[in-house]
Amino acid sequence: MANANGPGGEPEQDSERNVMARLRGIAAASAHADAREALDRIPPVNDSMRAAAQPPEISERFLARAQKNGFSTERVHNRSEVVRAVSAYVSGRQSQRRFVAGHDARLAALPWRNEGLLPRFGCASADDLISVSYARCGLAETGSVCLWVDRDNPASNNLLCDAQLIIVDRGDLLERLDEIWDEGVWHGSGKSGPGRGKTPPRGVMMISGPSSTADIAMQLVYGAHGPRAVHLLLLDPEGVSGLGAE
Amino acid sequence: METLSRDFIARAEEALAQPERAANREALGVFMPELRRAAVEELGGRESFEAHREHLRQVREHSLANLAHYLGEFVDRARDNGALVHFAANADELNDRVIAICREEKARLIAKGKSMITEETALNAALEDEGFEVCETDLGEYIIQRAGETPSHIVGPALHKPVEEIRELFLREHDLGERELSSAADMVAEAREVLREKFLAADVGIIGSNALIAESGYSMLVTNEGNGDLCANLPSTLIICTSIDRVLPRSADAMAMLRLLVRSTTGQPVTCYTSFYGAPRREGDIDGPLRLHFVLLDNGRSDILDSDYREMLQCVRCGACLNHCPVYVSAGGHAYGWVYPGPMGSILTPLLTSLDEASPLPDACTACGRCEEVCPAAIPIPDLLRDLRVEKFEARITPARWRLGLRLHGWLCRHPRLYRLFTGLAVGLMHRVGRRAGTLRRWPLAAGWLEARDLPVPAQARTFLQSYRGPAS
Amino acid sequence: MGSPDSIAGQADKAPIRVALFVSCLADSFRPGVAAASVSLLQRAGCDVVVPRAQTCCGQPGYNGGDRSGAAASARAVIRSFETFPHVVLPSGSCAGMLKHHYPRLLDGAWRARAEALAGRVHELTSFLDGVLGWTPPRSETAQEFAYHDSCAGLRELGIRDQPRRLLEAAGHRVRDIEGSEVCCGFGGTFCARMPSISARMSDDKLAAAQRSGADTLLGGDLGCLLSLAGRARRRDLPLRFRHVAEVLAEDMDAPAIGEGGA
Repeated sequence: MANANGPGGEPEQDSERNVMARLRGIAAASAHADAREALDRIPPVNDSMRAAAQPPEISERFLARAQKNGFSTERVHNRSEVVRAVSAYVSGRQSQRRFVAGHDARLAALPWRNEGLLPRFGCASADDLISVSYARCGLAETGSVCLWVDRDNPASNNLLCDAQLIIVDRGDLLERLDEIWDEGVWHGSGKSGPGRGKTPPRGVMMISGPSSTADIAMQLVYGAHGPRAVHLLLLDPEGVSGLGAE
Repeated sequence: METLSRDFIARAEEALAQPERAANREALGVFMPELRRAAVEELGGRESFEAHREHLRQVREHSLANLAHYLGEFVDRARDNGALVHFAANADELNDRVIAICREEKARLIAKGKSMITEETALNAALEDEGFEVCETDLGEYIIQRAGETPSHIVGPALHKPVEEIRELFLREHDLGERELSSAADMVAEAREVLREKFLAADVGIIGSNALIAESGYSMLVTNEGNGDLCANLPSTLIICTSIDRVLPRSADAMAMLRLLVRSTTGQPVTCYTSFYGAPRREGDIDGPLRLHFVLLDNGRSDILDSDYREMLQCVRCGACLNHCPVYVSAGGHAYGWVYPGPMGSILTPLLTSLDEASPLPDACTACGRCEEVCPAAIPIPDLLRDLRVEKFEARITPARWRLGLRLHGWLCRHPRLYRLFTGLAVGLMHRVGRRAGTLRRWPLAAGWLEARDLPVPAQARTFLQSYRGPAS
Repeated sequence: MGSPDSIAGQADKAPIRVALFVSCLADSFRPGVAAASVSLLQRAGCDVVVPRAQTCCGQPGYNGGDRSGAAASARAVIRSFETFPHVVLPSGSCAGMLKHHYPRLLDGAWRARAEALAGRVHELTSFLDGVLGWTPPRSETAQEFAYHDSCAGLRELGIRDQPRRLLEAAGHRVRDIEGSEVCCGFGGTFCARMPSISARMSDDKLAAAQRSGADTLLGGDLGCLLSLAGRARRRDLPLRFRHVAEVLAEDMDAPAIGEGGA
């Protein structure tokens, strides 16, 4: 769109100028001199969810919520178990040993060949039946996983396959929705995610269950457009001896 | 979109005469309040809900009070991110802008996610007039697009369609040979196959936005189906059509809104997909749109901002007021005659079209207050409807006999002696005529009441104030 | 079971001065409700006054768009009632009008007067139960009733348990009806402006009342009761309708609402 933000004088430029001028005129009566400062004065919600880390332990709350959302879940304790779990899941759904995965370094580093799995690294196409992704973080509040949409995590891999496996590290579990925007998570520092400097990804997808619809007579049906099933693998190295271990 | 709101009563009567099309709606009126109630419990109960919505109300109020500031910030961030931002003062400008983009892209097929804004501007018709093929991809929107109908609920557009109608529609519209399609699951599976082809072939994706985040330039998209995400990521061009009032200052504010939005909409704590899109494909990315456009519609919203109805812009489009409104559940969404039905529509329609065109809507309310009680943005819906009735009254849109009746009643009420005399005569007469039967079926000036119910007769021949002999001040 | 700020203890010392706002519907259609209210308040230890200058609280104009007319009515009511320590109404919607809507309707000095009055306005059952902490004596003729919560009472004034507590203390059984928080379709002039929609809502409410198994539906708002009774009579449904004050005062001589034979 060469002309979209083109030189002034176009009708569209007039619309932007007119609408913004109108808003400024209206705002003159109600706007704050320092909007952000006034915004920060709005008190946060003081509720029970703010109380940190109630029992049970975060990973149990995360998994319980995730199951309510329609995810199947599994707790694994090391990278070999991740691969074994993926292998079992893939075998249960198709005859081939193939799946598609993004270029996430954590996925590339897994010992796929131990189980004879054949990952194709790249963007999912309409022919791929299963994708495997690595979440940036998981959320106990809602049982969701967050994936940055970037070169390593194509959005197509979250959308086009029949089934998706999503791995999330126990150390990347967060309590509350807002925390996904916190500095450390956002830029990848201090977390196991592969931080890529300060450029934000083109998108962020928070996934909370398989694609679903209730548009036909209010009946809940999974697999509307995206994956019909999503399997979460919670990688919890310390969970072996912990209370939450299976 | 054409406004048929003036015929609200006739359209409601039509809906009341079609019980098979009301079944889903009636079930919704029972189940959605239950699901929402459970979701509020899960959030920590009513007190917690009140704390969350007071916070959200303050944030929305602040965002609107400083709209120029935050919209400006959003536009700057979006442009920094590489998005192209356009403004549209009215419906035609939005449609023209989208058409221009589609022409530039030499588009043939356009895949569309759910967007009430483009319903408002009747974008599909405008695009089709220009020869583009437009395919709605939200299952409900797809169904009504194929059926040539309009949405009857802002969240569940095909709510009025019984399963059997959808089955017949699919058998007719999809050339897939002999098949049963006996369940909703079968129909969803078939639509999935049909629409998958559209996603893969589309040249342009068009979606709406649940919120624009000023500090990041992201747009939040909340869906269960994932169709909006497919529209946003597969075609080479993405156009996000939304309105100028959707801006929130911070990412955290979007999360605060999300917490109440989804619980209010479906009773879920969160939908299957909550996505944030802000930029076209980056260097090294292997999917995503090459160009991302925002088209920001005003279409009367700055007028609302500048009016006594500003609180209406706090609306987050959750649909809870529809689900909890006995008038909506009885009359159905189509009765309201434009894009937005139910209590929020009864305010938005007169404000965005005209009070004259939408004149019955402010009266389509018993002031029961349930909408206000559940509104996640704490909009005083019954008060705003009352204010619209005042405007109607003062602009003489309210029928003359009603205005005269109310004026006379008010005048009489301010003259207690005459009031006692008049009511005493009327009560005595009614009592004499009807005391044996207990109710009347005919009485002057009571035609509206008597249309659907009898008029109970005064229990005594004299009013209480006529007969009471106790202490009076 | 009075609330903590109950003034029940004062009942022995000095009578509590109460002005009764009869409500226009009780005045014209059901004088027995007003008489029962006077009687209940007296039994609960109040010195009851019925100001003569009262008419209607102004809801028809307020909800119908005649704001200036409604404001004039509001000023008249405030003038007649503001000198009393308590104003009691046997109607949730009228009480809500005085308490919540008068301040919104008026400006300046009148708003201040409206706000001052608002704090002293009570719906009848919430006054008897919550403020006075009064308990009715056991009734000789205990019955089973369904109860209709009116929207204004429920949502503007939080009235739900108060009438039930009073009825149960008198020995009656109260059955809840499904969808008790949903409007019955009255809505003031709504039922005359949009009768077919209103009838539909009333029918849902009547069906729920019938499913409860009780044969009499009680309520605290005559608007709802008159319109439901009118609809039930139109459809020949075997349901009876009474105001809760009549039952509590054991003033059941008059035929039920909409029934003949007087």
